[in-house]
Amino acid sequence: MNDLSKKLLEIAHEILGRWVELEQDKQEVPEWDSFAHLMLINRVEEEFGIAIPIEDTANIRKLSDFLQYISK
Amino acid sequence: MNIAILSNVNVTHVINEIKKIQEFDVYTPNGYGIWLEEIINPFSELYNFEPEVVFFLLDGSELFERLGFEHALERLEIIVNKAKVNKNIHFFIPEIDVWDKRIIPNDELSQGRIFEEAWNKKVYDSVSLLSNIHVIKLKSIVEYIGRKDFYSDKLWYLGGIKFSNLAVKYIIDEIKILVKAYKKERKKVLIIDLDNTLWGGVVGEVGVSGIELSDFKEGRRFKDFQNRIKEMKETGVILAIASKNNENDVKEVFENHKDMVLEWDDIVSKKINWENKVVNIKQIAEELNLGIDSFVFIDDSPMERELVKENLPCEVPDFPTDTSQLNNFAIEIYRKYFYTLRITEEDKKKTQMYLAESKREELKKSVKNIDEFLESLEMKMKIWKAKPEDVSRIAELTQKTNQFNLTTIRLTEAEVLERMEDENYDVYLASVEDKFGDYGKVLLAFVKKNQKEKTAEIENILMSCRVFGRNLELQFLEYIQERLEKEGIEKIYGKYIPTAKNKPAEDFYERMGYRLIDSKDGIKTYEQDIQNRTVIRSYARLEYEN
Repeated sequence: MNDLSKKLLEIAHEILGRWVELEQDKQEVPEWDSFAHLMLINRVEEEFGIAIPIEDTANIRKLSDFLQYISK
Repeated sequence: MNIAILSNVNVTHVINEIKKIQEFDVYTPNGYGIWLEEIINPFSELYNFEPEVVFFLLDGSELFERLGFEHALERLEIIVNKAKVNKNIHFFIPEIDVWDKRIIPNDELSQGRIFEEAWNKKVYDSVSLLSNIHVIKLKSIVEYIGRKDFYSDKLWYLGGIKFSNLAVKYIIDEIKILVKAYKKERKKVLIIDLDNTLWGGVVGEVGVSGIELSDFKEGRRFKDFQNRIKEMKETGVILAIASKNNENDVKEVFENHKDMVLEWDDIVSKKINWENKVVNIKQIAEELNLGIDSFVFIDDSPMERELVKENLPCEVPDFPTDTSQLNNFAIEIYRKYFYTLRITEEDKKKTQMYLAESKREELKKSVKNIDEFLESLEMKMKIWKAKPEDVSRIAELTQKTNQFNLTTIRLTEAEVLERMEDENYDVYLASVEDKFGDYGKVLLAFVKKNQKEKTAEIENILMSCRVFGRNLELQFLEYIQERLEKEGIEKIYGKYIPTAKNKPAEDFYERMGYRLIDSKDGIKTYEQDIQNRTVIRSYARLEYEN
């Protein structure tokens, strides 16, 4: 696993209070509610110095979905 | 500790973080639209929760845009009025930031800026009126990290959340620091090294003119550092030096270097020698009669820091490896260890008081006996019946005095006022000074009279430990007895109620020649015939003021 993915998992753990898989759908994670979703997006933006368009926020369903913005 | 958070925007993320802090029980209303109702309604969940402190995390832009200039300022007025009637709750009101994004011509002043200034001025005005209003400097955080990082447009449009996660981190730190300052958990003494700490270079090697300390360029970093330390001293921090040096070299720097900010007399205790610093710090503790756990030690040498850290319970922060950061380092030290909401009269005089005390100690060593010592102090005691402006000091004395406190009756300001207004009560206060300095108001007595029976009861008499061992308590009560005699009182009653700490007061009435008439569960009751009272030896010159 690369450093980016590791960092993502750590951020998710911090916000959700549990570990999730990169490919796990947020539907399967009760802690991943709409508020946690916002926190996750903001933290990823801050951590990697990127901006995720507001239009895309609803399409992010699993941690790996963040990778396309980070590795750009 | 009960803490409440009120906001006009969604601050769920702040709340989640605060809840992780063990010592806090946190209350916040459901929904962020109702912060004002919670304040206005005396039966609200907020008051029901009985918070000790309330933080208002108000977003300035939202206040201004939603309510407009006048209405937003009215909200502030409401908070201040509620603070007036809820004296036991401390309100932390924000110094706000208003990011006015409206499009206006270049040369026009933005309304948001005007509002921001009006609000912030009002906040500080109210602070000076009420002792339970304080400031949470949200604006300072915004200035430090920048608006672009403090706010998140995305969180705002998606979730009604204004502050970014980064902002939350800073806000939480600020709240922690403010609560610590509110609880007065600050350290007392800052011990500093000299070479490469207060100035650059080793004075023993390069001489006074060779050290780095100036108004400009490299030497300025040390001058800035000294300025910050001097400012800390002004807030009541006691300064001490622990340095391996020749005292003469150091004195020369203090006296002759034109860019020295700190003065010789700003430093209460100076250990300038070649002794181990652990030994020196222990001696400082002994001289000042303060615990080493209230000390903070600053030294550029990692070896010295390690030695002190390993052997003593004092705080030893890392020294910056990049000395361009010295100025910020000092600010960090202040925030972490010495932060204070307000300074008291006592804070302002602290260095003076400790300097005077060390001169007294010197005198004590040079005289033959305690009598000679007390005579040579040239003490003056001024006694008067308490006036309204004395109320806060009187309440403080009843709250803080543990040792010489005969009955340990703790009083609020309101209860003090009650006694002052009651014609059956006399409240006497005394201030003391000697040739070395002023002790301030240090003796206090509550006397309850019964004119019909011609008796009086000393409800309590207490004395600050600053003036222990000077016989002043005897002279103080003797003066009160004289007054009572003139008023026709014939008998005086006194009581001693033991606590874990007030042993030093136990034999007070016996020393005054009172007769023990009852003793139950350690509580002793005494009486005195005012005509046949014991002669008291006086060391202080008395001044009466009616």
